[in-house]
Order: sequence, then C-alpha cells, then structure tokens
Amino acid sequence: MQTKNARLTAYLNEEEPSEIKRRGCIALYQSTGDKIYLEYVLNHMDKSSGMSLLFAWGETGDEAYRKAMDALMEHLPEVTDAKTLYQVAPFHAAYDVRFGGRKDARRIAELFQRMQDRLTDPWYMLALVDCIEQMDIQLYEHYRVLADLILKAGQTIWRKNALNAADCCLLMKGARLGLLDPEKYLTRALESFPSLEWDAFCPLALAEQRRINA
Amino acid sequence: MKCLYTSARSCTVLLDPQGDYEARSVRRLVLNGRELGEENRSVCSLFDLWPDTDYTLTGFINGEAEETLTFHTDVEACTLNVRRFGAKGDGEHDDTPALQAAILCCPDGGRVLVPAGTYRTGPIFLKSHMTLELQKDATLALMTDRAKFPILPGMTRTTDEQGEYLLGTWEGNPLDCFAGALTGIGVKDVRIIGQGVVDGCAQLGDWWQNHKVIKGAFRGRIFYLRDCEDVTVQGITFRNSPSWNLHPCFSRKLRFLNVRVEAPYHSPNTDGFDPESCQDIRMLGTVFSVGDDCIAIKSGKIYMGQKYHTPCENIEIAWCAMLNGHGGVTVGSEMAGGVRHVWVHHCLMRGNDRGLRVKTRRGRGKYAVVDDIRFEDIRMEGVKAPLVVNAMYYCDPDGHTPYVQSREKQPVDDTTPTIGTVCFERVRAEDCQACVGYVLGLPEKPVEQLVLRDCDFAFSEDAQPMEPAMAEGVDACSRRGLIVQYADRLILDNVRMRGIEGKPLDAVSVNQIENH
Repeated sequence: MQTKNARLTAYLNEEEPSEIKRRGCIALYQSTGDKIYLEYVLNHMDKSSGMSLLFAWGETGDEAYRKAMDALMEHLPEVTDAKTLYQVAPFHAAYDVRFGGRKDARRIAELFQRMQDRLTDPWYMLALVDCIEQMDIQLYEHYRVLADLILKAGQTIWRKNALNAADCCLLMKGARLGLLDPEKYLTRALESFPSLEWDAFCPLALAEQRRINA
Repeated sequence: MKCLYTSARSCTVLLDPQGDYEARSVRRLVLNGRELGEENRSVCSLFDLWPDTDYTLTGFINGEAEETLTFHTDVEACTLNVRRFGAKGDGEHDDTPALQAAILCCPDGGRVLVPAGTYRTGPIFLKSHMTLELQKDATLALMTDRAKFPILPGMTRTTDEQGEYLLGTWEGNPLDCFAGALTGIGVKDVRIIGQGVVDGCAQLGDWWQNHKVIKGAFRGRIFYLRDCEDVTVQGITFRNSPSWNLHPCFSRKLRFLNVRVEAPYHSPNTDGFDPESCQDIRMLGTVFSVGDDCIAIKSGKIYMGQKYHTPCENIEIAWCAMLNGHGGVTVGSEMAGGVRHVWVHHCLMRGNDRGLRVKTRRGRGKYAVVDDIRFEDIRMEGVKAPLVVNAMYYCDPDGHTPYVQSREKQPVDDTTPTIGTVCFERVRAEDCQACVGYVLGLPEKPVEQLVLRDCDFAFSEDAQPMEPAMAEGVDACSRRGLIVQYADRLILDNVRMRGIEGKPLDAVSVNQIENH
C-alpha cells in the first residue's frame, strides 16, 4: 500500500489492523477520495467495528454489511472504558438516526456525561466529535450535551503547552462542525500541526487538515 | 366604538365588542365628513390618515348615527419613499438594497413608504423607532432562490464562552434558519402598517418541496421577531410563507391588528401565528386561512425551556376568524417554558379539525406549565372536535415509547409537565363531528381543572369519524360527548350537547365532577 505520505504508508503497511487504523482510513478516504483507503477498510473489515460496517455499506450497498450492523446493534459491547466508547458510541448514534427511530440520543448523551472524568483522554475526545457528527441536531437537548463537552475539552486543550494529534483532531473537527470558534481553536491546532509527534491518531488529524484546506 | 391603536398614519377601532370577527350589524363609517363605506367587521383599521391631526369617526347603523369617536394621530418625523432610494417596484428588479437602505436611513419617528407596485426582495431587516408602510396595492414579493437568503445562526457562543447569543430557531430549538421576509432582531418601537401584501412566494420556489430535507438551513418565516419590544403590525396581508407565518420569539408588547394570514390548505408547517416565549400580545381582528394551525402558542423544547424558562403569557386573541387550518388555537407542543393566561374571546372558528388543542407530553419538564387558558364567546362552525387536551402527544421521535405513552402512574420529577385550568365559556359549536371534547391528562399529574359553562355543541347528521387526540390507544370516533381521563376537577354548568350518540360524559379517573 502506497500513499503520498511515507510515514502514513509505513503505518498502514507495517502495523496490525485496528479500529483506529480503519477509522483513520475512512476519514482519509472522505477527505481525499483516494481509493487506497477504501480498499484498506474493505480488506480489513471487522464485524465489531460498527463505523466500518456503516461506511462499507454506504460505499458498496452490500446488504451483508447492513445485516452485520443489525447483528452488532443487538449485542453492543458494554462501554466501560474510553476506547470502547470510541468504538461504540458513534456507531450507536449513527444507527439510531438511520434505522433506530432516534430513540437513543438521551442514553448516548448520558453515557458521555457519566464518563466525563475522561474528558481529555484521546479516545473520549475522538468519540465525542465522531458521535456528535452522527447525531440529529433536532434532538437538541442531547446534541447540546456533547457540544458543551467538546467546548470544555477544547478549553482544556487550548491551555496546554504542547498538543498531540488527538488534541488537534478535536479542535479541527470541532471548528469544522461549527462547535468551536475557528479563530481561537483552529488557529491553535494549525499552529501545532507541523510539530506533531507521529502516533496512531495522526491519520485522523491529517484527514481533518485536508478537509480544512479543501 | 373604541380606539384600540393609533399611529401617525393609521388607526384601529373596535366597532362592536359583542360581535365576533363579524359585527352584529353593518355600519356605514364617516371620517371627518368623508364617506368610508360600509364595514361589517367588529374591528377595523383606517389608513391614509394625516399625522398630528384630529379625527372624528361616526358609525351609522340603518341610517342612524350610532356613536362618534374622536382621536388624534401621532406626530411623524418624515417620510422616506423607497422609490427615491432606487426601488423600481416592477416585479423584476432586485429592490432589496433600496428598501434596506431606506429603513437604515430612517430617522427616529420616521416612516418608510412603499407605494403601489410589486417589489422583488430578499429578506429585509427592521430598525427601531420607525414605521414601514406598505400602501394599498404594494406587494413585497419574496425571492425564491434560497442562495440569496441570509442565514440566522441558531447559537453563537459569547466570546468569553460563558453564554450564548441566539438568532435562528426551528421548532423550539436554537438552530440555523433562513431570515424572514421581514425580520426584526432586538428592535423596539416599530410599526408595519398598511393595506399592502407580503408574499413569501413559496409556491414558486422549493420551500414546500421535500420540506423535511434541510437545504442549507431550516426554512424561514415570513415575519420573524427576536428579542423585540413594542411592535405593531396593522392591516398587512401575509401569504405563502416558506414555513410558519408570524413568529415572534422572546419578544414583548406586540400588537397584530386586522392582519390577514393566508396559505394553501396543504402547504407544510404554514402555521398562522406562533408566539414563542413572548409576553403581552394582542391579536385582534385578524383572519387566518392556513395549512397548519391558525395560532400555536409555544415556549420552546426542553433545552430552551430548562435554560430560559420563559413562558408565553398574557395573550389576548379576539375578534379573529380562524378559517380552515388544523387547530383554531393550539398550545404546544413545544411548550417547555410554559404557557399561561391566554384569553381567546369573540372569535369565529370555521372548518378546523380542533378548536382549542393543548398538546404536551412527559419530558417537557417542570417549567412546562399550561395554565389559565380561556375560550369565551366563541362561535364554531364545522369544527370537528372543539376541545382537545392531550398530555401524551406522540409526534416526537420518542413519542411512541412507553415513557411517553404509559397509562401507569410514573414518578413526578423534573420532566413532568403540568396542565392547570382550561375553561370554555359561552362556546357555541355547530356541525361538530368527532366529539365535544377529548381530555387526556397524565395519571401522575392529572389536568387540574376543566370548566365548561354555558356551552352548546351540536353535531352534524353525517359526522365523519376522526381520532380526536394524537396519543396511542385513541380510536377514531364520531358524535361523542365529552371524554375525560386523568383530571382532578371537572365542572360542567349548563352544557348542551345535541345529536350525540352514547352518554354525554365519559369520565375515567376524574377525582371530582360537578355537573349542574
């Protein structure tokens, strides 16, 4: 697998498939349209990755993915840590809006509220921005719970001396979704961008940066 | 006769306080010796008056001088004619900048005059301390290309990130929407008067097509006020709004006098008048013929209700005609800030599905208190169900869940709404179809008091069945009496029901019934 970014190519080729890799590829495909990323997701599918199933179903129309989503929804893993939250909550929100009759927004918002002691955990932050992107804004009281948590996370990040890729992701995506003031937060993220240390969240940050530049 | 309102150029007069929309007799009106012709309404407005002038109005019934009224018009600073600002009024030229410039240039106490003509415009923003007059045969014809419409952002955080500044709104939430044909943000002491028309032209654009799909932002209203005070709309006709017609939000001291609101029967969400978290409103002598509720009194969904708990209150609706439209006067369903002291009197309701309709549900919250809703001296013709109170309204995403629909007592908590007193006095309804009334409270929070006094309900011979309330387990019915479930106190005094089938009162779980 060859991308224009050598570090990214190495990351995709060398390391084991994982949820964060698939989600990074989804974001990169959505921001670049480069089929390399689509193929990566389709070739490294995992039936416990709801967002990958949803993405694959949207791109291919293959009903097998839809059935896998229904099955996953029947047995959603219990969320006890931020990493599971990142895997489960955005999918739960997306499924609820598309197929579930918009019944679960309250439950999802309460879950984020309950776990907000992990506000600046990278997984929690990314779960927040990915989840709110899927929610129906017309269920505003629940949407707003997440919007306020994103502001709180943004404020904490803004005061930090050095930002990491997940921090930049939250700031950039929050600004793109109209939830964070771009003058304040996007500027901060873009300033930090060139000096980011490589980590697993970099593909997501890169994808966000491309969307902003586009 | 009584003078209800004067401006520098106009006046609104109450001719017959005992009439409904129509006066009990036709009057010939003479103003300072000048014949104005015949008037059959209870409330009428006079235009083309001169500022700072004494007037004497005389009404003649059957040739006899009935009463005389004197009034003095207000002073006016100057008149700015939009033609001098470059408006063409030819129906083609974009007159938006000319109209907007005239408004922004208008001095305190001045008037912006829009003479006869068709003015193609985008949304226009109002300014404080001025009058906008659309003269007879003047039409503001709203553009249909939404790309040319400004968007009002729903919520903007304050710079210190402690608060928020709200502009746009959709169905009780702070969401981005397109600006209204006439928009007022934080203005006061404004009059929009005259016999002209504001035409939303929604039938020519895409506003009513696939209306549930959000294209850019939520649909705008034809007349939108936010944080305004002391605004009068007099004589204007509003038609074909993209969505709700008159939508004042978080505003105070508003008057709507002899307005007309028109929209096709099947146009989506074209409510006539939706005051939301507003105080001190008079809606007098207005005609509604719309595609949704004629009047829907609101105070936001749960976020707005819990954050601002600003009720919609002190509302007088009188001498109006509600023709067609789903509900004559509706309360809710977005009422999380509460609705109270609503006095509807001397109105005509014709062909509505429901006369008074109160809609709420579990989850609207502790500030969602509906209280002191009074219908007095109302004439209804062909209104299918005159009175519907429903605390289990299902039209929300979660409306069919047990949380909303359960007939089991739930704990009373911060999410429980309240319905206080609802009163019908001297309501005369002919050609009813479904039932006299359908009242469904909550088992844990019954309707506190329901009063029907000196009322007369007559049913149509060929009454068609209809589901009176949108709650689960409510079957379609026809020619039924009053059906009440979960109420504390029910007072029936001199209530006549003609042409019903079955018993006049079907009360379940009503704690106290007084039947005189």
